[in-house]
Formats: sequence, C-alpha cells, structure tokens
Amino acid sequence: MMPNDQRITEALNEAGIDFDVEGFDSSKSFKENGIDSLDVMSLFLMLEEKFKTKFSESEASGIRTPMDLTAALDKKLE
Amino acid sequence: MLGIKAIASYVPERRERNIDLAGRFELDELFLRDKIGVLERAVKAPEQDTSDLAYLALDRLMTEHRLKASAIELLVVVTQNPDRNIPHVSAQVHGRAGLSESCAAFDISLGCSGYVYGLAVVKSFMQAQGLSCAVLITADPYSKIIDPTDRNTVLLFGDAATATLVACEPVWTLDTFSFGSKGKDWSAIRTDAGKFVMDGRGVFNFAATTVPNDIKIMLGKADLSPDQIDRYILHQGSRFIVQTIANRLRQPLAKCPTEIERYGNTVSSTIPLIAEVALCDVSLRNIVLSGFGVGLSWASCLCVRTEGS
Repeated sequence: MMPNDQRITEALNEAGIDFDVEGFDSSKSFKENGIDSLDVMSLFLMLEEKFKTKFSESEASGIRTPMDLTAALDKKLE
Repeated sequence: MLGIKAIASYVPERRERNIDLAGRFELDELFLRDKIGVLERAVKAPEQDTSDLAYLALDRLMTEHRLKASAIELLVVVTQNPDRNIPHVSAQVHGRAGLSESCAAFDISLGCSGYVYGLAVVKSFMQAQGLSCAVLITADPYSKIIDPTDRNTVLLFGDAATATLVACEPVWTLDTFSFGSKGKDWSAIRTDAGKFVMDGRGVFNFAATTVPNDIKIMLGKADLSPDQIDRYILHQGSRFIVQTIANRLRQPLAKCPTEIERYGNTVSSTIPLIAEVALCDVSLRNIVLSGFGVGLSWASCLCVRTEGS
C-alpha cells in the first residue's frame, strides 16, 4: 500500500467507515472500494474538520477516487 | 405545569416501496435499510390534502383521549405545504372539528424543526394567555412537492400527521429549550418552481456539526450530561444522520431510535411519531427532542417525565 493509500485508509478508519481493506485501491472509485455516497460525505466532513478546510460542491463533485481526494487535500494544504 | 399529555397520529395506509426504485437509482436493499433507513414510504391518497391528514390526527387524539372539542383553547398547525395559500390549515381543521369560536388557531411555517419550535410557541402562548388545553398538529405531506426523478429526495420522504395535547398535569414537562438558525444557508433545502430540492451534503454537514453541539448546549443549561439522558428522539432525516449524531454525542444507538423504515421521513411528524410510543414507556425519565432542517433551523428540548405519570 502506498503512503497516500495509508493516509486515506487511516482517515476512513477514523471516520468509522467500513471498507474492503484487503482489496483497497486508491485509483478505483469509492464505490468500487465498497465506500458508498453517504460514507464519502462522512469522510469529507471528517477531513474538513481535521484539516480545517472546506471542499466546495464543485470540488467535491470532481472527486471520484481516494486518489483524487488526497490530491485535492494536498492542494488545499500547500 | 404545562407539558405533553398525549399524542396521536395518522399515517396514510398506502405505501410505496423503495426497492421498486432501487434499480433505477443503482441502489441495493442493504443501502436502503442500513443507510437511508427507509424501505417503504407512506403516501397520502390523491384526494387527500394537508388539512385532511391534520384533521384525522386531531380526530384520533380527541377519540383516544376523550378530548372534547369545546375544551381546546388553542390549535396550532406546523406545515409548509398548506392546502392553499389562504387560509391557514388550522382554520380549516378548526372548522371541520367544530372547535369553539374562542379557540385561537394559527399555523407555523417550519419544516423538520417545527415540532420542537411548535411546543415552545404553544407553551409560551398558553402561559401568557392563561390557557390550559392546546393541540399542536404537524402535517407536511412532501409527496405534494417531491420530484419523482430526484434520487436525493424521492427515497426519503413520507406523509403523516400527528396531534399533541399540551395541557396541565402532563406526562412529560417541557423544561429547557434551545433554538438556532443559519439563514445564510437557506438554499440547502428549498422548492424551485414548486419542486423540492435538497443539497444532501450541505444538510448532512449541518446536521452532523450543529445538532450535537446544540443538544450539548441545551443540556448544559439544564445541568445534565449526555449520559444522563434516557432517550434521544431526533428528527429522522435518514438513518445515517441519526447514527452520525448518536456517534458524535457518544451515545449508543439504542438511545437514539430510528423509526422510518415503514413510512419514511415525515418532516415535522418524525419526532412526535416516536414520542407517541415513548410517552407510554415509564422507564424513560429524561428525554431529548431535537429537530433540524429547513431554514436551516434547529431546536432542541428537554422533556422530563412527571412523578406518577
């Protein structure tokens, strides 16, 4: 698992979200990783609170994979 | 002492099954049951309107609790989907139920926070005017405004009405209230050209962050901790929202029931539908009611069971 993957899986665990740990692939969609749309909202909120940032609606709608999410987060925290 | 003495409800018999829409929206039953929490939605008959649902809830309250029409001094209806713009629904219900001409009747325009706001308004009005018997009705059939092609809302909402008797010698007192509004975010829940629109993520963030905080502030005013509450009756936005608030309050789910599986999110009626059953449970002493939604607005209230009730 790449460091970026680890960061997201830690965030998923922190948000209390069940997902396919063994098959986790950050380049696949959230849905393909067993993470539904409501869990994604919960994950976004947890990251927004943790890093004191906000994902706008247009930003959020463009984030389809965990990899997209880490990239968007990194950009915000630069 | 004024408080909640009885609650009755009317839920239309007709049901629409969410599983029938699952294919169209690429959802499975597990998601419907565990996340949305709604398997069937109660839907009013086409010929029924808001005042019909409201009247039927009031009629049940009057029948089940032998409440005479002449005894009711105040009638308040919470709705944002009246039969028509003019008159207010409470006037229609007042006339149909044959209430006294000395009975005050008005509507309150609020959504999912409306029941708790309504209790505060009714209690204050009664205290200020020296009244002893009032009925608070919730009736907001969203089937009138739901867009059947909108997956964000069509799976959630159901129709129902409730009637709450607020009177002396109550079962639950209405002790401490808290209220709030975020008018800057009003567009998160609205109608556009008569159709209901909701920003699901915006509403989720609002409910997850604002509501647990508000409940803690309200409990602080009452000098109670979250652990000292026996039951949290939260607005049933969805099963996921109830679970999220429970987690953030660090309370077990057993203390935060979800009761929308068979009829859906019935807007201002979700809290009194659960309270109707909880009112009979003598093991519950301290109860929190918390409503949140359209506005965005929220209100929480501490209810305490009276001795011997």
